[in-house]
Order: sequence, then C-alpha cells, then structure tokens
Amino acid sequence: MPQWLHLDDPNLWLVLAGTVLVGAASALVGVFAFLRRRALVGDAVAHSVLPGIALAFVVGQSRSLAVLLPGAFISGLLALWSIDAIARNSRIKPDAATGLVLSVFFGTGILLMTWIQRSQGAAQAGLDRFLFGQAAGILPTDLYLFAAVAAFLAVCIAIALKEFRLLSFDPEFARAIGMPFRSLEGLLAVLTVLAVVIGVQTVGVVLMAALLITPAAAARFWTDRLGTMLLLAAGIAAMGSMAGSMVSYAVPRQPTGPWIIVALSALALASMAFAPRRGWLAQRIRLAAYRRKIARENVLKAFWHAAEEQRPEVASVPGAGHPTSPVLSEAQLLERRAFVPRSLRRSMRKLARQGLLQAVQAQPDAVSAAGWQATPEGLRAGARLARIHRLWELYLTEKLRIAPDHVHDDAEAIEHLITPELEAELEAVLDHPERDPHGSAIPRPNGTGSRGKDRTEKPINPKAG
Amino acid sequence: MIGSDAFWIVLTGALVAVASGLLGSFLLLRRMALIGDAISHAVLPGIVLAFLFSGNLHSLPTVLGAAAVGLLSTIGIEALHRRGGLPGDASMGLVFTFLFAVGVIGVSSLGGNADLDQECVLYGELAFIGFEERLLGMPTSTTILLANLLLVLGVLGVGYRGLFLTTFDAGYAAAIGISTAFWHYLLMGLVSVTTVVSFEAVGAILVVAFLIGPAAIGHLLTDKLPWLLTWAAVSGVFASLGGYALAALLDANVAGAMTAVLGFEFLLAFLFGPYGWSTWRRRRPQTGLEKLRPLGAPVKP
Amino acid sequence: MTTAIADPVLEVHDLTVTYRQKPALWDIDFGIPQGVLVGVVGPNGAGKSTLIKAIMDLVPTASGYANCFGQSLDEVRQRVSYVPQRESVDWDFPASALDVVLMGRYGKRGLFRRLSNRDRRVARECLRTVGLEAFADRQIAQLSGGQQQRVFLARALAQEADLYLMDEPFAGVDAATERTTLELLGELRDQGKTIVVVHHDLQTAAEYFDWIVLLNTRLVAYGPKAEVFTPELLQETYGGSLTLLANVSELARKQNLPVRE
Repeated sequence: MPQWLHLDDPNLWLVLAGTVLVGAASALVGVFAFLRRRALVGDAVAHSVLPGIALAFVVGQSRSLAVLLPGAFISGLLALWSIDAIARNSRIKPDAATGLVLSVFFGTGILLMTWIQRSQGAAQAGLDRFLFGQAAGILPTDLYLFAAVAAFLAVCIAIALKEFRLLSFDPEFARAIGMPFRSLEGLLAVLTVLAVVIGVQTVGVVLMAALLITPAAAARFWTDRLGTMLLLAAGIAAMGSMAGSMVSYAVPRQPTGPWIIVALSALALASMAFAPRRGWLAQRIRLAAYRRKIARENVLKAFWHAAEEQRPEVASVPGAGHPTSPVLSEAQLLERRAFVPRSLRRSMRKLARQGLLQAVQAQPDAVSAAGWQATPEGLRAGARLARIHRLWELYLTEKLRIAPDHVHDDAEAIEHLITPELEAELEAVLDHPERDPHGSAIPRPNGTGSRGKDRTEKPINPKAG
Repeated sequence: MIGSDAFWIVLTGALVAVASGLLGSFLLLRRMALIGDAISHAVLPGIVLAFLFSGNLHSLPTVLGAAAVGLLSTIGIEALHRRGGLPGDASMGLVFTFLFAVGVIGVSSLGGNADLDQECVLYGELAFIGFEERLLGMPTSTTILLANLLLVLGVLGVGYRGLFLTTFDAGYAAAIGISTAFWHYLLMGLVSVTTVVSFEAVGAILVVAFLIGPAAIGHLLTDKLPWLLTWAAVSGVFASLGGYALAALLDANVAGAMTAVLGFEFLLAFLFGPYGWSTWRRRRPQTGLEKLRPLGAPVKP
Repeated sequence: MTTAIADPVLEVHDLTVTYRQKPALWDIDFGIPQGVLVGVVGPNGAGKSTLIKAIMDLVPTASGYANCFGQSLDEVRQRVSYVPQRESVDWDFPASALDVVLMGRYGKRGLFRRLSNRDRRVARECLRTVGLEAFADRQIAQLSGGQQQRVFLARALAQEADLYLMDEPFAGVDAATERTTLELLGELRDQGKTIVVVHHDLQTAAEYFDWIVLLNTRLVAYGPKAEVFTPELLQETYGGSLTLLANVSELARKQNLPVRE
C-alpha cells in the first residue's frame, strides 16, 4: 500500500463517501437531462443557486447547510422558471435565455457575496466553497444530508421511471395520452435542483454541469436501455468521484472537484473509444472486418466467374453436375479484378484456412501451372455472391427502374451485405428469375447453374458481376 | 485618484461590453449563445499554459495561444457531436467543463501566484484596473481591450454582409458558393480573442453576460440588425456605468454588479420592449390557425 | 421512362445520398432540358428536398454527381438560383424584405464590394414582380407566411439566374401567393429559364407543371406530364413502399456499414 494513502484517516472516508453519494445522485438526474437534450440547464441551475445562498445567509445569519440549502433550492427553481418564462413569452430562444439567466443570477450572487464579505467580515468565508467546491470540508452531518437527498432522488426516479422514460423519449405522446406532463416536468426540475444544490459544494458552480452530464454521456455508449444506463451512469460517477478524491487527497494543493471532472471526462472519452458496439474502436474493427470479408468474397466470386466462363454448359444446364474450379494464379486473379496484391494474398491464406480454397502444385507435365483452386464449397460461396449480385441488379432495374448499365456498382456493394433471409425475400419479390438484366444466368441457390434451359449467345457482359 | 479609477473601470467595462455585445448579437441570431459560455470557460487552460511560458498575461503570444485553445474547443465540440454521436449540448457541456477543470487544476498548481487565482478567473479584478502599469497612457488591460474592440469593429465592418447572410440563411449562402465554415470560424475566433483579453479584467462570467445580455436586450427592442447592434452596445455601456455605481454603493464586486444591472436592463426590455412579453402574443404571425384559438386560451409551445 | 435528353440544363447522374447510412436517395439519374417547368413529386420522406440539396451540394453524396449547363456547379453557381424552404430560416431575424432580396445580388457582387444603385434597383424591381413593392422596408417578421415566401422568390429573381431550384414554394401559402408564384414561374419558363420545383400536392401538380419527376427514394419516372402522370406510375410512387430496399438500408444502418464501397 502506498505511503500516502492513509486508509485509517476518517477524513478520507468522509470525503470519499460524500463525493460518491453526490456524484451518483447527480448522475441519475443527469441521465434525463442528457436524454432530453437539456444538458446545459443543469449548468444554469448550478450558477443560479448563488444568490439564494447569499440571501439565505443574510436572513438566517448562519453558515449551516440547513439554512443555506433552502435558499439555494428556491433560487435554482426561480432560475429554471425564468428561463422557461423568457423563452415562452418572447422571441428570445431557450439557449439564449439559459445563458442569460445563468450569468445574471451568478453575477448577482457574486455581487451579494462580496457585499456580505465587506459588510459582515470574515463570516462569509464559508460561502466561498459554493463557488469552487470544497470536498475536503465535508462534515458527518453533511454526509447524512447527502445520503438522504441521494436516497430521495433514487426512490423518486425508481417510482416514476416509466413516466420519465416517456417524457424523455416521446414528450408529444406523453402529452397526448394525458400524462400530467407539467407536473412530471416540474418534478424532474425539482430533482435536478436538489442534485445541484448538494453537488455545487463538492465541485463548484462551473463544474456542476459535468457532474450531471458526463456520466450520462459515458453510460450512453455502453447501453441502449434506460434502466441500465441509470445504473451505469451512477457507477461511472462513483468511480470518477473516488479517483478524483484520491488524487486531491494524495497530492498537496490539488482541488477535488476539478480532479473528479477530469476523471469523469477520461471515463467518458474511454467509453467513447472502447465501448463495445457503439465505441469508436469497435466500429473501426467492425468496418475493417467487413472490408476483409468483402475482399475474400470477391476472390471467391472471381473463381466462380472463371468456372462459369470455362464451362458455361455446366453452369447453366441443370443436372450437368457441379462446375469445377479452374486453377488460377495470383497474376491471373489480379488480371480479373483490381485486387490490392497484399490484401489478395491475405484473403487467400484465410480462405485456404477456411477450406474454401486450396493451393495446387504445378503438374510435372507442365500442362497446368501452379496456383489456387476453389474447393466445391468455395465455389458454392462464389456462386451465391454472383447470384445475389445478379438478383440485385434485376431488382434495381425491375423495381427501381434504374437503367441496366447503372446497376453494377450498386450490386457490388450490396452483394456482401445481404443476409440469407433478404436473399430469399429478393428472390420471392422477383418471382424466381433466371436471368439478370445483362442476360447472364442467375446461379441456383445450391451453387450449380441456373434453371435456364439454354444460354443465349450473348457474351457475358463485362460489367456483370 | 478615485475619480480617475472610476473612469478606467467604467471605460474598461464598456470596452468589453461593446466588443462582446456586437459579437454576441451574431451568436444570438445564430442560436449559438451558449457557445460563448463554453468558449469563455474553455480558454482557461490556454491562459494558464501561456502564463506558464511567458509569465505574463498581456503578451500577444499569450492572447493568441489562449484564443487558439478557445477555437480548438469549438472544433472539439463539433467533433464529439458529429463523430462521437453525442447531442450538441452534451458535447458542449463535456468539453468546456473538462477544459475548465484542467485550467483550475493548473491555477491551483501555480500556487499562490498573485496574477492568476480562482476568484479572478470567475469574476475578475476590474476594481484594481487603475493600478495596472500604463501602456500608451492607459492601464495595460484597457489598452489591449481597446485594440480588441477596434479589431472587432474592423472585421465586422468589412465582413458585415458575410456574417449577415451566413447567419440569416446558411443554406442559401452555401448555395451561392460562400464558405459558411469560414464565417463560422471567423466569428468563433473573434469570440475567443475577446474572451481571452477580457478574462483577466472582468472574469469569465461577465464575458458570458456581456456576450448574451446586450444582444438579447437589442433583440427585444428592434427589428433591424444595425439597430440591434447599436442597442447591444448602448445597453452594455449603461451596464458598465450603472454597475460601477452599484458596486461603489455596496462596496461589492464590480463585474457582479455590472451583470446584475444588465439583468435589470433585460427585465425592463422584456417587460416593456416592443418585442417583449407585452406584445409577444398579440404580434405572433396571423396564420389562419392562430386565429382559430379562442382569445385567452393558453398558448401551447 | 428514361427519356434521353440532348444538352440537358440539369443532369443528375447516379446520385445516392445517405443519412447515417440510410439511403435517402438511391441511384437517381435523369436530365432536364432547357425551358421547362418541372415538378418534383412524391410522398413525404421521398427525398424530394434532399434531391434539391444534393444538386446544390448542400448535403454530402455517397455516389454520383449533378451537373448544371454541362459543368460542375462550382463553375456556374451564378446561373443557378436556389430557394430554400421557408421554415429553414428564423423569420424573427432583424432584416427588412429589401435586405433579404439584396442577398440575391451578393453572389454577383461579392461580399466585400459595395452594392451599386443598379443592385438596389434590381432588388426593388424583383419585389415589385412578386407584388411586395410596398413592403420593401417592412421587417420580415411582420410579413405573412405567403409574403415571406414571395420575398424568397424575389431574392431568387434578383440573382438573374437561368436555372431555378425551389424547395416547396407552395407549402402553406395563401391563394394570392400561389397565383403570383405560378404566374411568375410561367413567365420565367417563357423566357427560356428552367425551373425545378419540389411540390407536395399531387392534385395541383398536373395543372402547374410541364414536366414531372416522380420520386420515392428512387426515381420512378420523369418526363412530360402526359407521359408520366399515369395511374400505374403514380401507384408505384405512392403505393406500397419498397420493403426490400428499406430492409437492406435498415440492415446497413443498424450495423453501421456502408451501402457504397
């Protein structure tokens, strides 16, 4: 255990418990702010509690949270109401109203606080912590308050989860089915202000927005479910809060709040980069895998085309047996299609491992050169691609009325995307066709030739897949 | 001496107010009011970094370096939004709080360095402007802010039509071949520079107030862009004057007082302005549907 | 329905536009000759506005291109005038009707040169053409929806272009505006200009336009209205959607894979 970490220091535990409670509570509320695209409303509320705190101090003549927090609460709600009133009743848009209320309330708060400071002396020092946050000063009694507020928030959200989900996801519908829309919105506003009120003194007014939004944004990358997202956001917030508190505890002169925010931002960035499925890396990997699959499939298709050209009667006459794959050298493959040589070799190695391609040694009689040959299974896979390609071309010309000479590129992309179900749908929609718009036979599903009785003399269109 | 102090405070506040008010008017009309908020917080690490390197807040490299961070933050917000798939407001909140946190950590690490502390970051040291070293006969910050205002006026003068068009109808502007990105980043750059040079004198929060407040007041008072800009500048100057008086009366922070006065001005404009609350409902466009709504029925947003 | 057009004023070639991988337009390919009034018609979400925006290079395209006057748009922007949807701007913006119409001169004059008296004269002339001469100095917020739409028309006229692309100019306007607009479009056509109009109303389309482009994600048909306005083609445009195409796009979107290589 590192020297600096005095786990027996009760103060450390106080700070850890306090920041984790505050972080998790804010994250729960923040999820809804995030989903409702109201990320910066929390910012406004955080800035706006200041005048309330100052006035509460003047009226109550006390620095205890029991006196200050009601003031903060009222002024936070008043700010939310003002934003709403301005945006609703004038041409000022909600974002401008938010920024305006935020700065005016905050400036007024600064005015009042400095006034108190000058007129009442040092007693004001305690108010400063609301500006920049001061987690180190958490008292046991504060902790009870935090725990009570956090529990209240969690219970409210658990009870009204269904309603809040609808409110976030489809407010129009919520209104239409007669939900008490305004009350729900009001409840959410109250919860937000509560979270902010206990949060500002840990991280300060400016960074409060991050305590609300950043965990929610991070959680969004891991899940699509609201329940999971709430739990994840709370968990992420707890992790970030712990990390931040540790740093500021271990390193002298380091503020807690900013380190919590830095830790949370790092978690959000990491989620964005590394979360499965929605993360940046996962998408990159998926795209790269898809590209490699395309490359491999194009190799198989090239073998099938070669087989088709070599023995068209096998390809087109039913019952004539399976076509056999010709032996193609790398150079011949490159001639057929502009493969990137390096990726071509990689594709072929992989296909060989999958048993779809096999290497053929040069025969001693020198009739056939060394090269590669598709296995029957590989040829079937190639046939399937050619089949989808030609079906899609037909679909585009018949159903989308696209000119036959314009459909090739499209089919080249789509053939790799289509699933067996879509393939069946495609065939059904086209009523089990036999020829593509260029006159080429459409291979049958089992990889043998088409059902066509005879093959027209028309040469294979160079553009045909 | 007191009298001359007052003069410098009011003048400096007014210089910030006019520059921010003009830029803020375009931000407001572009529905980007909050980007000013974001930039004004995001420049902090840039200021700290530049301060570390040059040991002084007033050199040109400091200003440009910090402004570059502000500009970068807008690009970062864009990137998180476009490539990261986050909603625009959330990516804004994420970026500026992170940068501000880094900045505050930097400020704390600087220790007791008198020139840059947490309070000054948020609400500035306008009251002590008179004690600053003189540059060209004025306190250094005042001179720099004057230069900044001239820069803003110059760019707005030359680029008025470009900003006007890209703000009103970006689609049409792009259609006739005007680079909307250029005008966007030009405006962002000016906001960043203005924020940085105003930062030390008035603090982040007054910059935000001056970016949004005067523009909002102007928007409630007139329907002509030149007049909007004028009203924004005038209301900013009045807030500077009134704020000083209020601060002197209460012996309180000047930037906070200016913000409070600005808020009061907005309230007046909102209550009595020709496009404020009193006329808003009457004036809404006379489409047929609106007329069907019985008088006195609540307006659904 | 793939009429070959000699020397098309507007040529769209293999245009595909995707929004977050979901195709909004699929392989659109057509040409428009000079001097016709064209209506782009199709159901909601058919990509009508997207088509106009893609032609004007306002949305990124996945494949294909559009040419005007046989050149790329950048070379001939002055000759192409675009009328966006009325809802696309904030009409609370502090500007007068004349201010907006003068924007039509910015392309010619550049952003930094002073507008000449001729520019102002042309702008007022255009306002008179759309019947808003008396409203030149009126703030746009105080205009009715139809009048706002006519201001947009006047701005397009002020550009003195040869090809007009208009996005829903008839949407939500009063009868007077509809009449004025229609007359105006007819006059422009008679002067040899080409006008492409996105139109939402099938009932009036046959009456208003010479040519019709039937669009529903893909191009169903285009050509003179007598050829195109057949029950079968309309049924195809408005009738059953192409579920297969939708399924394929949905698959691509869900897996975030490109529909173009």
